[in-house]
Amino acid sequence: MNDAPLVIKGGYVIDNHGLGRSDIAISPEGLITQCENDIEISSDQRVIDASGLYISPGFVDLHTHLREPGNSEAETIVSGTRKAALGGFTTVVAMPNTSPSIDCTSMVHEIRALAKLAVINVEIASAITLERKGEGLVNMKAMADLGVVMFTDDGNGVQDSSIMDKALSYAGELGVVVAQHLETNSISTGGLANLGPISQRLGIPGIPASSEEIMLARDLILLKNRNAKYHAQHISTSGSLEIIEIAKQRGLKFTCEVTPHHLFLDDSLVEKFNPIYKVNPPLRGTMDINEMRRGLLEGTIDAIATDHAPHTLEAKEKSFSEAPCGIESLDIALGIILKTFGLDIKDQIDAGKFVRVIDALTTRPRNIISKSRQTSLLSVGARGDLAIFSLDEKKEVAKERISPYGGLNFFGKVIYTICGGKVVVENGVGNW
Amino acid sequence: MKNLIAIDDLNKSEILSIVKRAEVHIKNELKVTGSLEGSTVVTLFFEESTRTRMSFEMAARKLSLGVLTFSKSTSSMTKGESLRDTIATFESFGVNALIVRHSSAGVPKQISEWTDLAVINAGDGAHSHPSQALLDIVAFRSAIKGEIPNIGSFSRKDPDDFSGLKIGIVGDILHSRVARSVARAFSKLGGEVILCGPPTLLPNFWQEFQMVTDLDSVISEFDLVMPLRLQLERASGGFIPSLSEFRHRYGLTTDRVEKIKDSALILHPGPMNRGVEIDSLVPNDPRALVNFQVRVGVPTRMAILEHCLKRDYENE
Ligand SMILES: [Zn+2]
Repeated sequence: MNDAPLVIKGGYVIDNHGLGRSDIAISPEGLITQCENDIEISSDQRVIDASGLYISPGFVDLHTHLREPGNSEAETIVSGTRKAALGGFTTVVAMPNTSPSIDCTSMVHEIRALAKLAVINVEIASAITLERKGEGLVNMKAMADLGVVMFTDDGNGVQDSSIMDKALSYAGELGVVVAQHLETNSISTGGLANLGPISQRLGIPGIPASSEEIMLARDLILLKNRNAKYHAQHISTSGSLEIIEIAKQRGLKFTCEVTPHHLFLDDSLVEKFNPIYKVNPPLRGTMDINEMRRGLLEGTIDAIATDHAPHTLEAKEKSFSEAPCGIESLDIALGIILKTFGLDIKDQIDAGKFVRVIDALTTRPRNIISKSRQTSLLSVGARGDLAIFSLDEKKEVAKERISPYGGLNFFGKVIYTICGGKVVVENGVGNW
Repeated sequence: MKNLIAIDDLNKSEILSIVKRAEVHIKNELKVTGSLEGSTVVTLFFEESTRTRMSFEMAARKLSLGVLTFSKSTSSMTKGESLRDTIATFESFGVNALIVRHSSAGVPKQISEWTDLAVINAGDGAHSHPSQALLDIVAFRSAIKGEIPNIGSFSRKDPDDFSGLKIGIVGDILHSRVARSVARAFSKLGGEVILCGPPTLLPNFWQEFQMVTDLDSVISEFDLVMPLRLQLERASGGFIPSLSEFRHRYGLTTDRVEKIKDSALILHPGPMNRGVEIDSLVPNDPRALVNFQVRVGVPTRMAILEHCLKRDYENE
């Protein structure tokens, strides 16, 4: 709960409905109470001057690895949610590939307890199968009753088609989302980078696009007979987009996401043999990237999800074959995405594109995990979760950072993050 | 101080200057004056290869270099020391060059980003094996120049330019660092490289070189044939139906060797699987440089060490 009611004045407002001008008032209970021009200010209200800034619903990340418990040297729930807040996120979905995995109710309670110290909302994803081994289903009903929003074995795809079919069947009844890390192990095993001219020239074992596409096609075939909510995680190939387009055109209902790095970085970077570019699915070719961008702008790809996957420095200094996969981008995702779509030059912004990109960070991912569909997140009665950012200021990424983005800078700096009416980021700095 | 990670680190004239320096060493029977005395190299073989390691160490000793040998099995890396820590340790010893072999592609390149010492790649995964490619050029040129007893039919005006020559590399191209380096090196000198093997063992996305699956349709055009060592586990991995099928289609059998031009040469990077990619008697063919090839290893690696370490001395 916030001490004083808030009024955010003078900014541009952007959400799935468009770009405009409005002030926003938030109650001490953390709900939006007014959303209109020229809100009158009473003396007890705290005013945030947003002139020249953009106000959007707080970003929702469907794919966040917070690493706790099990690898808290790499990240904790507190450190990860702080990075998220600095990036304008007010909700993250914590992936279950912790150690031990989130695959039972006691683990959900444990994450909830740890998340009490988080500065933003932490939603929980459970594994689909026990220990993410792809064999026995978790107790989905009990987990759903505890408010788990998603089921995924992320890090692993569910290899066994019969198990996946049963998971979809079970989840259909419960109305929960089953999300898939698309990877066919019999094809991908041993691979380290996108199979293509670059990996073959360098002699790096390749991961074919078919590893992803075969599992996607299989899941959609299973989904036809199951009334379940299905979500394809981090799609990366033009072939996946093609499959999704065909299935959606034929009326199959499901959703999918793409990561900032699969929109922004291509596989020529692995030429440096630096494990900071090692990620799963791998960075793909320029044709794939262009298709991911098209799919996102056309709305075929529903959401942008970071797949924030932090590792320690020591882990990323191993050989390319031994180093773990993962790129982290929670705090800079907005800037990367705006740059990707040419939305980082204020005078030349294509409003339609801007709206779609913000929708992919906010309303669409929110609706993927919501029980009830919300048409507007910036309306009276909605949660006071906001990201307020500047297109005049750059977010600089430290050169020393173990990241493909080290040394770069991006327009689209988050100035305020407001979560449940609480100002958690102020002037670009965490309030903690 | 220079690195030699891949053939792409060298331009044509650098390749020729290393190769010609190696030829001088052969002529002088490996006796060197004005050596690199005072410098030390360390061989870091994370993947064991006694033959290549000893060849580098012998080359270093011929140049009066100090030599340290790192072995993964006896070092503290087995106690969890990282690769980067290991490199830092050698840096603190004051060595001048790291000669690195690793089963994972890219490790020499990674190491070169962490250190100012010269890094020489002695083979990394399926990526690169530049010293092997350079010694193959030395052997090939010796044959061209008629310097190898009993191999003299191949005469060319200009041993510095391979244009008009067809080089066929045969077998498991996909997993071969030798193929990648040899293809690059010979094409930098103007040769036309043709990669030949079963479709499952060709890197089909890599469009820099011509790829052929039917060896018999092209073998009579080759001026140089290089069968690659076939890892015997490729059959169990489903890449080929069987070793005998591979031999039948891609092996340098006694019958198939008949189709090779009289003027052509046969090189094998070794060690050979006799009866798989090459029949037992083929190394005795007058066109085969297999035995000579082994002898050029040390002088070529001497020239590489000089190339990588020389500037130190010029600066003194
Ligand atoms: Zn994943």
